[in-house]
Amino acid sequence: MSFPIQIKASDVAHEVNEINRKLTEGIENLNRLKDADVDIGSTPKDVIFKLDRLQVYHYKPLVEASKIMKTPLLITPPLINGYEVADLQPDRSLVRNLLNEGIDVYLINWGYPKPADKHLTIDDYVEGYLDECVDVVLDHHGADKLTMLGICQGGTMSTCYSCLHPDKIANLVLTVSPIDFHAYQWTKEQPHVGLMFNMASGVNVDTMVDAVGNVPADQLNVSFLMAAPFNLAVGKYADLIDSLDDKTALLNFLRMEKWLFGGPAAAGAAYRQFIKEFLHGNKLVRGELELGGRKVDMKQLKMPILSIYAERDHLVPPACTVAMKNYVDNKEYSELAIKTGHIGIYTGGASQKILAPAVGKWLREHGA
Amino acid sequence: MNPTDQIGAAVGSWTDAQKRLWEGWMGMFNKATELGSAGPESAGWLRETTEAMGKGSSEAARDLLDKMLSSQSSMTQATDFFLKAWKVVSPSFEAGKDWRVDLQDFSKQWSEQMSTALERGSGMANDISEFSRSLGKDWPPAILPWLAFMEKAGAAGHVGEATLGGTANLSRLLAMESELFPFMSGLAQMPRAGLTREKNAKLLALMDAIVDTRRTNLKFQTAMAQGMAKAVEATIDRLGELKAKGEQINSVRGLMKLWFTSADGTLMHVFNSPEFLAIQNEMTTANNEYRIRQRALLEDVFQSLDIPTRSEIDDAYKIIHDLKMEVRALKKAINSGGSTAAATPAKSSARSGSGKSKKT
Repeated sequence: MSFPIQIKASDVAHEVNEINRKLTEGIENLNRLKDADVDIGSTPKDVIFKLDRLQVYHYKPLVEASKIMKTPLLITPPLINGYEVADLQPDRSLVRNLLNEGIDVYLINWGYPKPADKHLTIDDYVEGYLDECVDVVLDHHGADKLTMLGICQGGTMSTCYSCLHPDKIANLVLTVSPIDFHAYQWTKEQPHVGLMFNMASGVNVDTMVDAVGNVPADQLNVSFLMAAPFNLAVGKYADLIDSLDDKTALLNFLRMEKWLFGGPAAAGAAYRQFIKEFLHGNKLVRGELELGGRKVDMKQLKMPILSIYAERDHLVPPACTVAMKNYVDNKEYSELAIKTGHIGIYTGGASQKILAPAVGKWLREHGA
Repeated sequence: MNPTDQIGAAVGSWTDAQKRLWEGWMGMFNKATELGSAGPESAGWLRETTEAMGKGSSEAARDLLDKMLSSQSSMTQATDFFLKAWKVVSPSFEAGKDWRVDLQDFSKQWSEQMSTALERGSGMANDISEFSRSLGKDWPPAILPWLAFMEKAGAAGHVGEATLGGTANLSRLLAMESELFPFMSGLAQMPRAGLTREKNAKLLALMDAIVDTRRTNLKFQTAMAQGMAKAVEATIDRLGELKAKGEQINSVRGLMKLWFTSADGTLMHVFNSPEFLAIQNEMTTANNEYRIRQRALLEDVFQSLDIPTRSEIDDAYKIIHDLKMEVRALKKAINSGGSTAAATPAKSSARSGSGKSKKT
């Protein structure tokens, strides 16, 4: 058996030269890039509503008017990530794909909380902002009900909203949304599954929010990086050297980086409430959650529900998503599994041909 | 050349070449930035790169360049650690002997060295003067005078007694500091059962928090060190598997990839274990407590200078928030023709939205 490492000095010299050549060419590529080139969230849209930090977008249709469904769809992103995950770039865009399905798409951009927003609660977001956005979309579209599509935590909030205002929701679509936060069991074999839940399970959120006010995006990002610290914090940048001369690959990389590290801070009170009442207390499925002084009752979810999850989701374990069926009394509940990860479900190449077409088909089947 | 020397020399020359390369580039970036232009000696790529670092180019591109530069440094450090471990185990590995014993010894020694260095750096000493000097870097400048008099008070007696307002030294020192800092005047005359003790209690609480911060950081770093040792073990195991299959690694980047991948596979287990998370949470909480207690003490100083404090601003934010939500609830009630009494938020902060207030 030979020694497994066989690196010759001459090969090292060649390797260094090769890296230097790639770097030199790549830096020229980097130099040619402008901020406008690294565009995310670029699908054409109008701002139809502004309130405090949030904006509601109405996207311009991509199909002829006669093919557009009558029920509008409102996308509700999470509070802790930028909305651009739904519209990263033209060929990786849930928004664009939904438009191509003939869906009239609206989206809430929650914006970036400032210190003055630290007292915003989940109550304020769901019963205040989200309710206003729904009214605005219904008014703008001239409809009585809409389809709500929640992204991750946005799906959890969409579920709460739908419980409280079932009269305004025609269909509920959830994508990788945690509902039962205690539905998965941590195992030594797959310790990264439920990474965020696991990390947050013992966190003293009161002290954290008291100390920092709004919880900075960087603090949350560090938690994500802990899944694979070397590869995510070091290795992927080293590997990028090989792609620096490919402008398309470089731009794809930069757009993802821009979204990943450009997210908003989480409003302190909302973060505290989410961790304590949802993640620690699991109050939503226990029937103990109250928002705006009203009980959030999952039995109110009588509208058709489509829950879509990612089979390789290590941030929100599929078990936490699909457990919803145990708490709703609804014959029109259905599920769709996609073989991808938590972010890949929106930005992955394969998912582009699955997610939106599935939503479009399901909505057509439900009279949207 | 034996395998250890061979790999050491190869990686060493790669690292040196990279180091020179990055240092040279960074130096040139800095020089060009200082000069404001690239200068006649610059090659085209330098001029373009410097421009890329300037205002005209993409912010994302500049961030990326920065990350690539720092990733190179991290790679070098991480690989250096791995190589040190490798040098220890490779003789046994190559001879087909059990190398884990060597690695355990190395890990133990390394952990002890790290712990000692961290303890030294943390100022975990019994002597109050040394301790308080080491605390200096953790204290906001505005409360350094407090630290100074505490150190002097402690020098003449027990620090706990001094900080509880029970020594003559403290009175003398308070009086001395009052001369230097007029806003503190009168503190020495305050009854020790009252404000002085309250202030000193805050000071003590902050000191507790600093000690907790250092203690928990040390614990965290030790857990990290143990995790890294496990990562090395996993990487060497992987090398053993390659050897058994007759496969080889022929490039430095290939070796680094093996190290990163094996390390991540191990660290993923370490970082998500209940034991590690408990240590991490303890450290996070200690760091946050430190910020809270630091602020409490600073607010006393700010109040004496009639500067608004964070707590006061927070109160104002809360009032604005509640009023804003209440106004929206009232608007909504009016727009829907309902009673304004019903619009009052039910529990704590505003719960209801308003009408369509601000369409664009």
